[in-house]
Amino acid sequence: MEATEAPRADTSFNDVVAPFIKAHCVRCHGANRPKAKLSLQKITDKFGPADVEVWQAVLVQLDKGEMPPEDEPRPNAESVKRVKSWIHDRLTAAEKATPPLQRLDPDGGNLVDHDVLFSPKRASPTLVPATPARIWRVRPSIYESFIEHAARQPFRKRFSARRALFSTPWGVSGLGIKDYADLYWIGEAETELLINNAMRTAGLMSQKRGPHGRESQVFSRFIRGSGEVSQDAARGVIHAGFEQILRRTPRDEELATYTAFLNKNVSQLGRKQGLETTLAALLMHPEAVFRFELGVGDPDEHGRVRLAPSELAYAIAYALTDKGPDDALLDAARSGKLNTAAQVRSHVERILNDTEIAKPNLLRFFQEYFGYTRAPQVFKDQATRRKARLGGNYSPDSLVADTDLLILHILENDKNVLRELLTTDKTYMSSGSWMRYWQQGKDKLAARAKREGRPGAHTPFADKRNRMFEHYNFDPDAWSEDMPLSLNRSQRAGILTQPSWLIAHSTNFENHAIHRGKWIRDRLLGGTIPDTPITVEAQLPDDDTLTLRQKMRVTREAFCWKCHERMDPLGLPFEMYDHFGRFRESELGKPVDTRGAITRSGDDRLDVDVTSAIDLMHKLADSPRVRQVFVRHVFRYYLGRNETPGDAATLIAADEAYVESGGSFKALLASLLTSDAFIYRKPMRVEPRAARLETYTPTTGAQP
Amino acid sequence: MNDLTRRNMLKGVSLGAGSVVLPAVTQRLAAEEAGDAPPQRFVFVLQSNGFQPWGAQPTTIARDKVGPDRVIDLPLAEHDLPDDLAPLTPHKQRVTILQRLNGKHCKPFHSGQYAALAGTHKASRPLAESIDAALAKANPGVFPMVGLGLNSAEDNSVGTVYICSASGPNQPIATQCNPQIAYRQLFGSVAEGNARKDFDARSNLLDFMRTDVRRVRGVLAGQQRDKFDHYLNAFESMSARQRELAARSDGLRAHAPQLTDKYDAANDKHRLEAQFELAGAALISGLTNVVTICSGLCSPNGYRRGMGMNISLHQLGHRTGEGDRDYRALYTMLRRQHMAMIAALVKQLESIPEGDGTLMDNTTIVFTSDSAETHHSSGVEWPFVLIGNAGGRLRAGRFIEYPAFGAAGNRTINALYCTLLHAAGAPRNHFNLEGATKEVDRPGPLGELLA
Repeated sequence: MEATEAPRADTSFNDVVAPFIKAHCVRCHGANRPKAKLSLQKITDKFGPADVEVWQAVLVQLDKGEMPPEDEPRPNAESVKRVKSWIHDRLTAAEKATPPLQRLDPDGGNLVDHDVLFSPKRASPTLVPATPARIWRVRPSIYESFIEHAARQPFRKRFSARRALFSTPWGVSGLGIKDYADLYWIGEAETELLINNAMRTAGLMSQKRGPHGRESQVFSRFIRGSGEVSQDAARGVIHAGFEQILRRTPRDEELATYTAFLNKNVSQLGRKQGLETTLAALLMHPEAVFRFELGVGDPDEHGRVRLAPSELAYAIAYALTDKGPDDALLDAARSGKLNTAAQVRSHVERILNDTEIAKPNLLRFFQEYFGYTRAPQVFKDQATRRKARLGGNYSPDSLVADTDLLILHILENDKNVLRELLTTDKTYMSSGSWMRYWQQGKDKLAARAKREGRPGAHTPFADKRNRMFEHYNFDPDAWSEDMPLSLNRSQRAGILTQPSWLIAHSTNFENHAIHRGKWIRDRLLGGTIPDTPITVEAQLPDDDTLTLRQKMRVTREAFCWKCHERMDPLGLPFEMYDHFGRFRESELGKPVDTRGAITRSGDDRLDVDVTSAIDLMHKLADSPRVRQVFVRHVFRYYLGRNETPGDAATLIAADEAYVESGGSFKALLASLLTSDAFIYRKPMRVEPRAARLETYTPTTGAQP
Repeated sequence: MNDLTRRNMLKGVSLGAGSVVLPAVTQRLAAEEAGDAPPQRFVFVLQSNGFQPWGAQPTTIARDKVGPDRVIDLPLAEHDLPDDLAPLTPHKQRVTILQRLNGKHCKPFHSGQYAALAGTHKASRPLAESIDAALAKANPGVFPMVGLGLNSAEDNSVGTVYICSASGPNQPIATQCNPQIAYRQLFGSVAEGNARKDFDARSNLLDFMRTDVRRVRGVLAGQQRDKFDHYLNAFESMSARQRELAARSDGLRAHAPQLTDKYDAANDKHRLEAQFELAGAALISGLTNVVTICSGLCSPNGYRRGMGMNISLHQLGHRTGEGDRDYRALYTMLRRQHMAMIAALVKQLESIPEGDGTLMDNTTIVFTSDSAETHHSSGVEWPFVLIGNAGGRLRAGRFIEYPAFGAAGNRTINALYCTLLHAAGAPRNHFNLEGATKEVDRPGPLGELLA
């Protein structure tokens, strides 16, 4: 690694860092049998490749506050800060190409100090925002819509036949924001599924009354032909294949390669299978399964290149929708009208404001961020439901649909979006299939409900299996089709008090205060919690006579409390609900204890005791820090990576755009999607330029 | 051709291979000719929803509630196998029962999923290499390993899933639930007519992709190129495998199973039997040395159609009976069906001569549940049944019970996995527990199990 200049002179290695390490680290991490096999005895301020790894390890420990261990003398906070920022600056300056896995993983997103990102005076002036040049495996929904477009056939049958036509070749797993560019690749197992899908899609494309109607007759005509395949015919189907599948014309050498492939296939397999095999290759083309974000042109004064116009068109389209760019965007890219910031912004805003364009990737962010869509996977068995006296059919899917609609409603108003999400008393109710059942048989259901003397005869609750109102403590007679409905303000405040979220963060048997607390720590306070140590027997006592709060006293043991004090007091206020999301005032015959506290948030004004989940949510919603942590998560989702110190300016601008627009999510997104971080790429190094020109020309338009 | 032994097959392969570079397996067969030791094969069978300790305990061996002070090590010859394992009785001298291994750190409640075969914490994506993949690396085949699964008939659309095996962190290995697709992947080259044309089309496609995808590689560097290389390598290795399968089609034809209705059955039992058939055929024809059969896909839910029970696995896990049979009787019934399929596989492998004995002499079948000791499991104990002695490197015909979790002398499932690696000739003293404190386990294999 080249030597790099120290970006700031106020902290020097000899005066600050070396004495710190000597005082706090080398007793355990010395020359002789150092703990964790990490010796800091001889570390210097030279940043050789091996040193980078060591410094990264040190930084992670300091970030997490795990070192020095608690039983050792505490370094003062100021010196920790100075050492951290010294390491930070040196590491960023060293432009380490491969950050440690932890920093790449969504779970490690919060490891970058919040103050580094949001205090303008701490942001390093030498850092210029740009995302590393990259390829990014398309997310499942993009792949599915790609196949749907090619096959003109729904990817998934609504009521699944025994054998589905296509299968999603990969998922993104885990909780929270998941689809990061650097986390996933396509291996053999996925490719096997790609082949199946490609073969089936090609089969559909070549049918006489094919899915593409008139446009695909070029394929069926080709199949019906006989004798030698003429050069023109071959070139014709390759052209059509490129246009229909990759939405671009083939380059000359591609035309030659694919025509040769077609001829070989036809002579060996006959016209039909030969053509299908050829189309299948296009359906597995790298442009169909990766997003290319390499940039093009000469680097600017900061060494960055701009995304090629077509790359940018795809990046914008995929950020908001599951489809490639629409014609307007593609035309702009092709005709050089996507080159200025204003041009980019006009398209981003056009798509955001056009209600005709489906933008599933907006709701999806909130689904991944809040995690309420997990509710149906948290299994609640019959015995549990019986014990909780939950009537009717339990349908968590419907509760998820309620929350989906609530979020869409808040996004539609687009005012104070985060505050609304955290504090609204509004809700949808009986969405999903219940609404359908009801609308199909309204009159009959109403008549029966009246006969049986049940409330809510004019509502979906006329269906006596539908007891969804119980989850919301709502009077069925007060229901109206004119949703959202208002709930009791002293009982509900925002998504975290929606039954879907509460169920998603519970178990079969009870609430999960730890998961709830961890969620708030991660996603609203921007903190981190280490993994459970392997030796911990994490188990609460199994005793029906204890409340969850009482059971959780086991976490107060010093060893556990170190981490649990960052979660439990944030999760326990939600004891005002049971694990079906129903508000309650008593538990096991005694008034329920809903107290809790915000601690160690990083913002002293926010560190207060709270009396209930309602109190907690309102206090969190008031905090600028919480708002900024939310902005960090939006950044991660739409940039597909964790934020780094270089992104400070982008984050601050996005936060300002949000605040100045009165809390508009669209304004926040428009700011991020027109930022340098979104548009510029740091090129990959060490590449012979010749190879690049020969094989791939991003300017001519790429990608499906 | 049915009497074709591996020796004859080797000839066939050599003839058929012609100009093709000698593939790994052919080389291995040639090595056997030259007198080298045959490779060790491993078959893992995971049955979802728990393997209760009572199902693994011979009635004539008393079970102490708190567990023994020191390791109990008894010959099975003097005891009857428990009802659950009765179908293995003819092969009793090959059977070893392991009780009270600990996998609590895997958090296998409902199922340990990837953790069951890796001995790590449970997580939605693999945190480390699983034991089947590790063994496969020690004994590679045309297919490094073959993952087969049984889904629930009600969700029969599920084909390929990722659930229990991984070649490293974040690198899951697929489990194929559709026996027809699995058949095509393993034995597509022996098909005739249109099916053979499918095979050829696939060969062409893979071959083309391999070169076409390579073109794009030139514009990438560093990490991005590494990422892209996974895609390129997929085509490279699938294409190479396709060529190898084509070259060996004559040899494969002798061992390819009959493609019967079972391969497309709505009946779970039949589909599982088809998967066992494929497992046996893949081992015998030398396509792989490691197969994992994941029955139930690490889910505590679903139904088992055609297996004599109408209630769901989930109800069963909550100790619901059916008619006059209590939940224990139903668990036993399900387990016996798995054991019968294992016994059939043993018999099949015993019919194939290898060296001075049979292929079964160099095969070890490992049966357990991905959900440890029950439906709502804690993992403090995790029963295992081993069939086979890995060419004499493992002791067999034993009942071994370790001191309970928390007591001195307790061992983990990770130690068992180390032992299997010792038997496979790739010894390790840690399997994914390196760095864990000594409270979890000491390093090294299970001494009682190594011969």
